[in-house]
Amino acid sequence: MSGTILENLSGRKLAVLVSFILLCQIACFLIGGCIAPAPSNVENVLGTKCLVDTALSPGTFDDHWHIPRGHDRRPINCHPINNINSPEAIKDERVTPNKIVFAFQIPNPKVNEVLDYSRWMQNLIGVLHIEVLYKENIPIAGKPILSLDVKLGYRNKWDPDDKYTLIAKSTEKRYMSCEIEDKRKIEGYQYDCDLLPLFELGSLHHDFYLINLRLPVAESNKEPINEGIGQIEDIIVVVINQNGGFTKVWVSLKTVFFPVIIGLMIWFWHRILLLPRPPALLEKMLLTLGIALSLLNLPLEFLTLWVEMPFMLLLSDIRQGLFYAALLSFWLIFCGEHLMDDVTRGRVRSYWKHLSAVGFGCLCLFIFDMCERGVQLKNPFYSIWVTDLGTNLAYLGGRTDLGKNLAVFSALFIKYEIDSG
Amino acid sequence: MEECQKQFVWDRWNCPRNAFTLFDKSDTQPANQEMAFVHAIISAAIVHTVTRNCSLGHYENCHCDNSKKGTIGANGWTWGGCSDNVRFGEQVSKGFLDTRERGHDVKALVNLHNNDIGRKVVRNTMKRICKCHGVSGSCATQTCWMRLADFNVIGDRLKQAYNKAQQVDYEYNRLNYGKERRNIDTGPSNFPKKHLVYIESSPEYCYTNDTAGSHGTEGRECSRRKGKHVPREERRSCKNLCRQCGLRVRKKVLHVESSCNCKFHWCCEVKCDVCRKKVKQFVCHR
Repeated sequence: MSGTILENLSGRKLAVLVSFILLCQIACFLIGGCIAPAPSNVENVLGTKCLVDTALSPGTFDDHWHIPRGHDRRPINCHPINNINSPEAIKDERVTPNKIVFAFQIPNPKVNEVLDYSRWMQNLIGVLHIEVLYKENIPIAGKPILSLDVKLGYRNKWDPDDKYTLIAKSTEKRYMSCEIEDKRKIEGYQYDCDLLPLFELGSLHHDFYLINLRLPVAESNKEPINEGIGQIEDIIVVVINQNGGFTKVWVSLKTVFFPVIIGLMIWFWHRILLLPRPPALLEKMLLTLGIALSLLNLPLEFLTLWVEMPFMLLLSDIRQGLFYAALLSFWLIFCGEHLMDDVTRGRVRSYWKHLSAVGFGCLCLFIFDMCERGVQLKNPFYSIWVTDLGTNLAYLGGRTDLGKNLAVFSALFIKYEIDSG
Repeated sequence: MEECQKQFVWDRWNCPRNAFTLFDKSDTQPANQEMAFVHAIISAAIVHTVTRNCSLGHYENCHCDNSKKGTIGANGWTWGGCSDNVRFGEQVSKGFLDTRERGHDVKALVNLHNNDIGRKVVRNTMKRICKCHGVSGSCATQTCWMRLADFNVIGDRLKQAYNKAQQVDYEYNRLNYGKERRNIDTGPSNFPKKHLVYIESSPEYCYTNDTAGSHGTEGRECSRRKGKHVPREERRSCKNLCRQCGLRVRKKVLHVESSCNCKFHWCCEVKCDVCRKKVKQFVCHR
């Protein structure tokens, strides 16, 4: 088989080429390490407990926004309560669970400066941490279900202080999982509760966001909800956003490498077409891999600066998935052509078993992704993990890391092929 | 302060209110074991409160600092986000408490050290929490942060530090710490890193002694609760508080009205019946 590029190079030229690629790689590492900030920023936001005028029954929403810091930092539609479990609050007839709204206005201001989200920050993830006090009379019963009536809205810089626009409202269920050590079973100590997923936003297109969250209780004659969840003192929402600087560095690298790789690909294919024989399977696979890589590199993120694209999280998952599929297929065929035995198959059809395994795996991931992030396009509060099965799966997934699994799986698969072949 | 009294409820010294006046007359306070605890808990409380208030968003002066953020093109927040609130809490605590210790004597050093222990305890009790958000929610990308502990836990930890506190003494401005003699100029870095330190021995807290800030143990309540989860201090409290101070334990039976058969929601609303209960109370009496 006559070669295309590398086969014709002399040893010295090959060394130069390899060291050039190595240098490029080191440069990229240095840029990532020295210039870019940490990929994401975390902020703990403690909810303001608002007492509101009208009690709402479970599953219903009002049209008001309860805003902790409105005009001149004064609350709007909200009488902040410091401690909802103080004796005064308990004695006060007006303070009832259905009149309490936990309000989270993000991002928090710093040094008299109102911070706002930038479109460079790409996406926003919110997780919920609930602080439950230990009380002998009000224990947490097993793994209770938390029922949240939650609204998410946004405001732009030029909007008036009280104008929030609804993104989503929903009634969500979450399984609480809280523990306390025996020696800490003293009134006033806190349970140790697991994090609960709250929302995921695929685009951070606006400046300010507001979450209004309620834990309603049912009237006495109806089926009880939010019961046995202990005595809640505070709710913290942890918001994670991608750092603007990280996006800038990352997208610039993509922008630089995208045309380079496209150019290389065109040149490579041109060289192959010049050969007197049809392209070999491996060469076709190399082209596929290049296309998948370019798809991954395409700096689509620039569009998010002008257009709202809530499907970016899903899209980047799909792009990465396609790349992994192409990479795995490439390695499978590479091993098949060079390692397994001396037979040269040269056709995709002879690899159908292996390739369909890869395809099946990727299809499963895609379906799963559509179920989670696809649904999140409609309802950002949706989470597939809140069912009991989902929680267990998540636990497993969290412990074992999907990517590593895939790698180990494919390595075993190849080994099996070599042994049997 | 409530936390301090909770921690010392079964000790002879019960964290009286006047112990917290150290802001007015820092020089006149003795530098004993109890004051070491007070210094540490105040410092810890400032860090804790400031950090929490910053995350509430109502406090106006919370800072972002840009350290460790890779500051090229530093438009702070947009580029690299904002730092932890705890760091700011520590700064406030330092600025507020440590500037009060203007003296260059051992006492000032000891107080500074104890303030520092308070801050360290807050940091060491924090818990690291991670969230995975990679492809399809895998842990390919993971973000971690520190969560502030419950202040009760911080109090427990400080009480342990109090129990293990070490005495240092000094002569002619030279420190005697254990057997070694060290020069005071080397500063608080020579103090044991994990322990509270104090100079003077504590006064006898059995008796009322206003100059030493002791109210005596007469009239104090003690506990005879037994069981596995009852802490040692509580089990020994009657012996420690009353009998060893030459007082007798008097048993009082009280009829207390309390709420029972309560129906609770998760907050602020309780529907209860009123019950009468007999409660045994033990009080030290002359």
